[in-house]
Amino acid sequence: MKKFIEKLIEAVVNWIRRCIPQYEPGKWNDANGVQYTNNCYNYACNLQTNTYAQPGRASGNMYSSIDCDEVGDGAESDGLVPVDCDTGCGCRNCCHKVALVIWPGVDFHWYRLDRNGRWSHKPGGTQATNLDNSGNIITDPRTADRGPYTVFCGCYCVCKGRVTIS
Amino acid sequence: MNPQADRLTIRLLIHSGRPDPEWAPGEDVVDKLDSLVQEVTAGQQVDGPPPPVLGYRGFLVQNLGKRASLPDSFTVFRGIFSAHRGAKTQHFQDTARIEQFLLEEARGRDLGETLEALGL
Repeated sequence: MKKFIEKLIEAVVNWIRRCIPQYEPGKWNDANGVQYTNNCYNYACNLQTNTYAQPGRASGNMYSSIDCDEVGDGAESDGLVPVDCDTGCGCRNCCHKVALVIWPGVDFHWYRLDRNGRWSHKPGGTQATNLDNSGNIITDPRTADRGPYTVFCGCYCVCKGRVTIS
Repeated sequence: MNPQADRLTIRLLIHSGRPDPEWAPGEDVVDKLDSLVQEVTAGQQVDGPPPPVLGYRGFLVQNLGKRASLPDSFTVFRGIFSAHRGAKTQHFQDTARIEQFLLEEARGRDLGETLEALGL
């Protein structure tokens, strides 16, 4: 009976986690087309479009300046849903959590929370990694060393089938 | 004019979300790069570069014209030169200072202020 309950709990946990991406950098780090043509937004959304996706471009609402409001609005237009960083995305829909940060006036960057409970990211056309600028594992993007991306904007949920990027 | 020259692209790896600054160098730069690459790849292989960071991450040069003497693409960051041919990657010490050469190239293309802001 105990084993059955353990198996049941494991099955439920796996079912809840089924939508959270696994940390598999090899799927992105090919030193070729996939790596060079997919950026942090592609990686965070776990969607390889090979277009260097831009928040809002797929939905005709691309950002016009580099700040939290503009880039965040573009992402929401693509289907991302704002969420409190300290709460999850729930298990009703098939979602995972991502976070937006800004290099003021210059660029934006996204992180994603993986199935292992740690965060990872893909700095532009370079390799995906789970390390921050100081070489530490990223346990929270709010406290990670983010280099020039000094502004933390907030978290969003990416729900399967409800987000379109390009 | 070498028809292959304009098929090389140099990308300054600095952004994460927005596209990076990228340009096609002139023939003189391509020839110089070719010469520097031959010098570097004649050296001993070393371990790979440090993991990528946010901000400046070096340069990516793509050999779109398939110039035979150059790898399919190569990157250079913090003194490590990485050559990609098909699925194979080899790393070398950047003894020819390719990174410095490309930084000067970038500064000549109005990217000086951006680099300076990052302490480069």
